[in-house]
Amino acid sequence: MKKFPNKEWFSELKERVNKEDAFQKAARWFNGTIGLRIDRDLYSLKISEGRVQEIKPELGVPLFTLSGNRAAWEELLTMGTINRLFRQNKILIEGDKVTAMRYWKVLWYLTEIARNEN
Amino acid sequence: MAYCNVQNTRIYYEEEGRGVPMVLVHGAAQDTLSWRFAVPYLSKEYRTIAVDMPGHGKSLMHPKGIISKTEDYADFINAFIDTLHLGKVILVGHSMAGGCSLLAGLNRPDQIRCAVPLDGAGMTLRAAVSYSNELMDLITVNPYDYWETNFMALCGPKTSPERKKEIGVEATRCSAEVILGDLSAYTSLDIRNRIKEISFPVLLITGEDDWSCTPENVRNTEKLLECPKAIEVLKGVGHFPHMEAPELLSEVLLKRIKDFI
Repeated sequence: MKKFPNKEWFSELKERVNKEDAFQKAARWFNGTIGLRIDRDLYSLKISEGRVQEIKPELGVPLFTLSGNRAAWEELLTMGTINRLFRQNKILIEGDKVTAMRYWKVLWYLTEIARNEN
Repeated sequence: MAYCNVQNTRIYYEEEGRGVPMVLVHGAAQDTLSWRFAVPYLSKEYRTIAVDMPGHGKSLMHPKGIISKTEDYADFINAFIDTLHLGKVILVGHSMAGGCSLLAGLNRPDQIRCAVPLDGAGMTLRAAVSYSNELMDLITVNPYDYWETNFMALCGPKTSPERKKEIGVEATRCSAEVILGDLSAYTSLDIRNRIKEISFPVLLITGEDDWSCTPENVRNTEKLLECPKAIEVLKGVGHFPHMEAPELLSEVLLKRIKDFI
């Protein structure tokens, strides 16, 4: 496993996600940036046309951000799911929550693929 | 496979096997199909009758509209048992219907040989099953995708990806309004103040890895019961034992229920 979260880890995540038909279908109409905050570090995923186009530490203000401490993210990436961690308030959604819910499957596939990568 | 009329509602049900009647009631946003993996085992020893509750599967919506109270589902179950002249039944209810099975028994103990709440409990209020008020609101934005992934997320770690997907897809066959009604019903159930009134036997079965209706919650229900009772926790299984591990569930259920009937 590449060390989470670093540039190499995100680069591999982008490659994996963009190979998944299910993610492409879920994200087909999504056009914007999702933030992932791990403790104080923010990473931004620019998504459009069903693909993750870019992942960088900062890409402007995200539409919404999945936020949690490192322990929560490690749980998500080993044995948890976004539904479980969100329901248990370990991963929070900050920003436009309605858009986050509208594109829930984008979050689902993104995190499922991220977990399988580990 | 047949239809009957219960509470002025056209209701679908499926029967298999012979012997003592065992009524199988699905959980929130599901229907008779959820029992398809377990029925081949259970019907070897019992007459199984799986029913689609109003608004689910092939049953029509109740004339009063969407049901959002477990009390109403319990009343329906009582009326269904009467309509089919089933007499005294083994009542197996999954998740939301686990609580309904206890309520239905409280309404009509004369109908119950034994209640089997499967991943169900006597108290499933919002906080107890990890639903915040905010989440309840947000789910209305996209109930299908949320509920589909929720079902997959509720499966245990040993369940195959293919079976998880199959379980998830089931949720999408239910209308959004019914999903939300079921969620309201499930997260408002609290019969702790009546649980000591239960006189019929109760066999509680739950998945060890159910993080929604947790084994701890089920144990708390068991502690409150003063009737003949037993609890079984299935290892490596999540919220859907009848779909994730139907053979194991059936083996445990068939073995333990003999103590009570």
